Amino acid sequence: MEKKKMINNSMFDKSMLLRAVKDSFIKLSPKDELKNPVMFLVYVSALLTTILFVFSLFGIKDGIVTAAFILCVAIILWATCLFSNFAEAVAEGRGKAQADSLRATRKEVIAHKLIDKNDKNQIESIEGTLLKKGDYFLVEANEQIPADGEVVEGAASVDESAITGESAPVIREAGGDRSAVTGGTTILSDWLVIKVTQEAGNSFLDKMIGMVEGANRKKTPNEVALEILLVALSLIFLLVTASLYTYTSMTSVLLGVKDSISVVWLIALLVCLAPTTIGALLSAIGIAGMSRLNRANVLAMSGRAIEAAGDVDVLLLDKTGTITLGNRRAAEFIPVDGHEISEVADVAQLASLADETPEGRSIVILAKNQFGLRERKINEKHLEFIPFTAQTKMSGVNYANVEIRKGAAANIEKYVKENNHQYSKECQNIVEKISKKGGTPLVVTKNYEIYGIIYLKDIIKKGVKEKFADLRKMGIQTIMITGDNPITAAAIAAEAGVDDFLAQATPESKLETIKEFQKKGHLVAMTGDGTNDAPALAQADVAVAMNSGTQAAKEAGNMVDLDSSPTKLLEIVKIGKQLLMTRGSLTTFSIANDISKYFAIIPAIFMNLYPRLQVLNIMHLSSPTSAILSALIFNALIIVALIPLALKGVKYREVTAKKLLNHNLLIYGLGGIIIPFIAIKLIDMIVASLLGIV
Amino acid sequence: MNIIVQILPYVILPFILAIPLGLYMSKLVDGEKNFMTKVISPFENKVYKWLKINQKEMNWKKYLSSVLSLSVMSFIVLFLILKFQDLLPMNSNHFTGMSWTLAFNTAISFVTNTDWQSYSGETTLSNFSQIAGLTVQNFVSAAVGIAVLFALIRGLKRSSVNVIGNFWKDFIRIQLYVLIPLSLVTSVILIATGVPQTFSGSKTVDLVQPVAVNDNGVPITNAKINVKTKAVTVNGKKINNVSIITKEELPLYAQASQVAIKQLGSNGGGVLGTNSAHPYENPSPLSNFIEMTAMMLIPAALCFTFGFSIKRRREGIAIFITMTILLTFGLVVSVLMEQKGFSLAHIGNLNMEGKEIRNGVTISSIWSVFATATGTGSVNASLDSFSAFAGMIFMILIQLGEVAFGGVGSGLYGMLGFVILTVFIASLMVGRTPTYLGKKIGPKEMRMAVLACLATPLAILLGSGIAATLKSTLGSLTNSGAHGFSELLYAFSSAGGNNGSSFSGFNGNTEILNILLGLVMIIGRFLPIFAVLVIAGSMAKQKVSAETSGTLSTSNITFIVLLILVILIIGVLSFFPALSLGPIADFLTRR
Repeated sequence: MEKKKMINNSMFDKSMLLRAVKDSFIKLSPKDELKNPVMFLVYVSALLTTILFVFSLFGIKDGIVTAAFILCVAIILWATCLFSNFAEAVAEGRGKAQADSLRATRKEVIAHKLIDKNDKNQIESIEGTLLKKGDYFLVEANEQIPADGEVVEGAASVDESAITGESAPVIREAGGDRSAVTGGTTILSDWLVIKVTQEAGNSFLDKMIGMVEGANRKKTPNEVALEILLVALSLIFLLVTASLYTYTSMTSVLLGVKDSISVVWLIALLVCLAPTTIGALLSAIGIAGMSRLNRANVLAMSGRAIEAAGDVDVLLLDKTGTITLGNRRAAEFIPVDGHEISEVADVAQLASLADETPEGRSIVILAKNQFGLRERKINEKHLEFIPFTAQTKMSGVNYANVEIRKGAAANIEKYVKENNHQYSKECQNIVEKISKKGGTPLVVTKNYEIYGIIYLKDIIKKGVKEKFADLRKMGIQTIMITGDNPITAAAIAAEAGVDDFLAQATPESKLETIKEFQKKGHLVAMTGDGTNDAPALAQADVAVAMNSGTQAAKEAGNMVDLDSSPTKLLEIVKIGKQLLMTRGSLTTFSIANDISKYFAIIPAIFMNLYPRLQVLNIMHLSSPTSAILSALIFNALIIVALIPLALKGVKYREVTAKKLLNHNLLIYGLGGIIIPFIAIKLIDMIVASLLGIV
Repeated sequence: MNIIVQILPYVILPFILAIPLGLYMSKLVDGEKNFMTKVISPFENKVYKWLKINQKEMNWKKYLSSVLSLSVMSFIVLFLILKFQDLLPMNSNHFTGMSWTLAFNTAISFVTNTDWQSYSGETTLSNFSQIAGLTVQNFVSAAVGIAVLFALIRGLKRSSVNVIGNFWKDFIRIQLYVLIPLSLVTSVILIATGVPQTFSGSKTVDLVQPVAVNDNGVPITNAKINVKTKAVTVNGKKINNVSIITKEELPLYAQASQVAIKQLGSNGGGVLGTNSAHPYENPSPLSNFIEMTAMMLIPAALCFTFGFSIKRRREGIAIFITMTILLTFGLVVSVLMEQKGFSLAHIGNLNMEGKEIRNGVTISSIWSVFATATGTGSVNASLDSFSAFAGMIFMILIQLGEVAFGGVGSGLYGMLGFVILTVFIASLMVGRTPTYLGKKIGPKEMRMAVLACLATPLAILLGSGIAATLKSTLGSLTNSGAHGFSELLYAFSSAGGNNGSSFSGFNGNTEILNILLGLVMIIGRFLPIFAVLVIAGSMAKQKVSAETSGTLSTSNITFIVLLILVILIIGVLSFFPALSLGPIADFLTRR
C-alpha cells in the first residue's frame, strides 16, 4: 500500500515560485496592502518617498539629501513591500496548487436519483449538483459519488484517493461507523444507495478546497492580538519619528544650524523601527501552519482549532492503535498440573492452527519460535476444526479421540465441569495473576484436562513510553481510553506510561471525563470516529474526527483526519505549538533587531547637529548615507531570508516551557540583537564600495 | 563597594517594612479583618452611613465611572480654591488667586498624583489652598491609584464574575486604614526632627546681616551697608539705586503633615518651591532618611500585597525583584556618575553645585533616583545641576513608565501591563496561547495592556513634540543647546509619567505650557487607569485555565530577565532619539 501524498514536498517548485512572484506584484494594490497595517505603513512610506523623489527632480529639496539617495530609499522600500507580498504568496502557493488538483477531481456527474426511496429500480437521472438534502440516489461500480451522504443500503469498496491521497480502497456500508461517503470519490465494486447529507456548494470537497486555498481564512484571536501589539509599536514609532522632526528643528534653532534634518531620513528611521520583519511574515506564518496541517492530511475547520491544539494539555487517546498495536499477542505458555511447557505449546498450536485471528496466529508463531514446532499440514491428522462461536466462546480441534479446546477461563471451566472433570486450582491462580497484570489468559485443554495457559499480552507500541514522558515534560497529560476492564487497563496504562486511563469507556463516560477536565481549566483533545463519539467530539476543545468515521462524528469535530490514524493527535499538537512558537520567535527577533538599527541611523542623521554623537556609530559605518541605506537594505533582505523559517516553522522540541523559552530567547532574542550588527556592517562595506565607484 | 554601603540603609528599611505592610494591605483587598479593624471599623461604618455609600460591588464600568467622577469633582473643587484663594479664609499673606491656566495646570497636577508645580508655594499659595486644596488631593489621588490596583488584583484572582470591588469602599478604607495612620506617624516623627507644623502663616524676622540689592533684586556682592544712613558702598565707592533688606520672611506652614503625605502617596508636591531641599521641609539627615523611607514604603509593599492576595507569593516577589533590579541599576549608575562629577578647569569639580551640604552628593543622588523611580517627584537637590548622565537616568526612570516601584498603585498596575506584554511574547515562544495567572490574553486584553504600557511614551512624545514647535518654548529654557532641550524633555517626561519633578531651569508657567502639560498629565494618568480597569473586568469574567509544566512560569529568573528587557527595550526604542538630542549629546559635548 503505497501512499501518494497530494502535494509534492519540495518547497520551491519552479512554477509555484513564478506564480508567487506574479502574485506579489498583484498584491501591491492598496486594498490588499491595507489588510496588513504594519506593511501598509511601509507602503505609504514608499509612496511618500517616491513623491519626494519626483519633487527633488524639480528642485524642491528635502534637507541636504540628494535625489539619487531618495531614489535608492524609494527602491528599497518598494522592494520591502514586494518581499512581504512574496512571503504571503509563496505560503499560499502550496494551498492553491492543492486546491487546483482537488477542483480537477470535481466533474459534472449524473446522479441516479431514486423516485421512491425504497425502490432502487425506479431512477431518474439528474445532474449531481441538483441533488437536495434528504434525496436518495444509487451509485454503481466505476461511478463517481455525486454528493456527500450516508449509505442506507448496500456495501461497496470505494476509492477515496482523490481526497485522502490513500490509494487503497476502503469499504463503505450501510449502518455502523463506516456509512459516510464523500462526493468526488469513486465506487470500485458493487453498489450503494445513499441519502444526501450536504448539497452542492456546501460539500466536504468544497469546504476542503476553501480551507486549503485559505480563501475564507480568518485571522485567529491570537493573530489579532499580536497584530494589535505590532500596530501599537508602529504607532509609537510614528510618533517617535514625528516628534524627532520637531525636536531637531528646535535644536537647530538652539544651535543655529541649518538644514539639519530631512524627511527621507525620518522615513528610513520609521521603517527600520517598525516591526516590519514579523509584520511581513505574519500572514505567511499562519497560512503555512494551516498548510503543514493539510500536508499531514488533516483538515482543520478553522484556524482557531490549530491554535487550540498548541494549548491542549489533556490528550484522550484510544488504546488500540495509539498505545498498543492493534491486537494482543501470545507472550508465554504456562503449564499447570505437572505438564511440560512443550506439551502446552503443542496443544495450543493445534488449537490455533485454523484460527485466523491475529491472536491465533501469534500463538502459532510463538510455538514455532520457542519450540521449533513447525506448522503442520492441516490435513495431516484428519483434523476437524471447531471454530469460535458466540455460544461456546471456545475454539479448537478434534482428531481421532482427542478433543482440544482453548478459550477464556470461565468458559473452559464450564466446559470441563460439564464433562465431569475437575477444574485445576493452579490454573485458576495463574489466570487471576495474569488478569491482574493486564494480560488475557487463554486456557487450553486436551480431553477435558487442563494443560496450561496461553498468556496473551497487549503489545505496547515502540517508543510510546518515551513519547508520553516528553509530553509530560511539556505539561500534556495523556489519558488512555479503553473498553477493557479496570484491572487490565491499569496494567497497560502503567506499562505505557500514560498518566491516567478511562476503563470500560462508554460515550457517556468519555463526555463526562472531558467535561471534568475542562472544569478544572484544561483543554482537551480527542480522536473519534463513531456516531456515539459525536457528543464527546463536540465537547472537546480539539476534536479530530476520522475520515473513515460517520458523518455525525465529522460534523462534531473541528478537524478531520483523512488518514484516519489514531496517532495523528500528537502531530496536530506539534503543528499547533510550532505555529505559535514561530510567531513569538520572529516577533522577538524583529523587535530585537531595532537596537542595532538605532546605532546605525541615529548617529547618521544627527551628523550635522552633534558630530560627537559619532561615538554611537559603534559599527564604524563608512558614511551617514551608506549607514541609512545599509540599515534599510538589511530590513528588506531579512524578510526574504526568514521566509523559509516562516514556512517551515521554528524547531520544535518536546521539553519544558522553561527550557523552550531559554532556548528560543537565546536564538531569536540574543541572535536578533547580534545578527543585524554583523549584517549591517557587511552590507555597509558593499554599499560603501559601490558608492565609491559611483 | 563604598556605594553599596551608602545605598543599602535607604533600601533595606523600606523593604523590611514593606512585607508586613503588604500583608496588611492584602487584607484590605480581600475584605478580611486585620488588627486595626476593631479600632477603625465603627468609624468606617459611620462614614459609609454619612456619605450614604452603597456597598454593593461594581463591574469595571461602574468602577471606572466612580474613579472619573471623583477625579472630576476633585479637579473642579481644587481649581476653584486655587483660582479664588483671595476670597477664601486663611490667606494671611494676601496672595491673589492663580491665573486660570496655572490653576488648571496645578489642579490637574494634584488630581493626577503628578504634583508638577509651575509656581513656588511660599509666594503663591495661602494656607487654605495648601491644606484644604493640595494636601487633600495628595490623599485623594494616592488612594485612587491604590484602589485601581486593588480592582486589578481582584480581577486577576477572581473567576467567572463581573464585579471587581466597590470603589468608594476601597477609597475610604485605603484612607482610613493606610494613608491616614501612616501619615500621622510620619508627621509626628518629622515634627520631632524639626519640621514645622503651624497655621500661623509666615513670620517676619530681622536679618542677622542686612543685604543690599539692586533694582532688579540681585544682591550686590562685597557691599558695605550702613543701616542707619542707608548708604551702600562697594570698595569705598558709593552706589545709588539700591535697596537695603533688613528683614526676612520665614515660610511657616503645616509642613510636617503635607510632607508626610507628599512622600507616602508618591505625590511630591512641596509646600515650598524648593521642595525637600528647603530646611523647613527636610531639616536634617534624619528627616531625609525618614522621607526617603516614606517614599519607597507603599509602592514596595504593594508588590507583596499582590502576591498575598492572589495567593501566589512568588508572583509578588518576582515583580518586587524586577523592580529592585531596575532601581538598583538607576542607583548605581547615577551615584557613580555623580560622584565622578563634572569639572571646569578654573573652578574644580562642580558636583556640589545645586545640592544641599547637609545631604551631599551620594544621598542627593539616591533621593533623586527614588523620587523619579517611584513617581514621587519631590527633590532635595536641583535636578538641573546633576551631571548629564545622572539626569538622563532620572529621565529614563520616568520614561520607562515609572515601574521601578512607581507611584502608589500606579507603579504596580503599570508593571502588570508590562508583565502582560511579556507573557504574550514569551508564551508564544513556548508554543502556547498566552495566559497570565490562568487568564487568557486575547485581543481585548492585549489592546488594553498595550494602551497601559504605551500611554506614558505617547503622552510624553506628543506633548514635547508639540511644545518643540512653539517659538515661546525657547523662552522657558534656562540653558541652550542639548541641556536646554533636556529641560523641555524632562518637563514633559515628568508630566506624562505623573512624576512632578522638574529640571528647575525650565519655566513651565506660561499659558500654553500650563495647558499642554496639564493635558499630558491627564493622558498619562487616565489612559492607563481606563486600560487597567478594562483588563480587570475582562479577567474577572474568565475561567481559570490549568497550569502545567508547559505553562510559562511568570516567577522564575528567565521571566524576570525577559520582563526587564521588554521594559528597557520599549523605553529605549521610544526615547533613544530624544535622549540622543538631550542628555547624550549634552554628555558628549560637555566631556
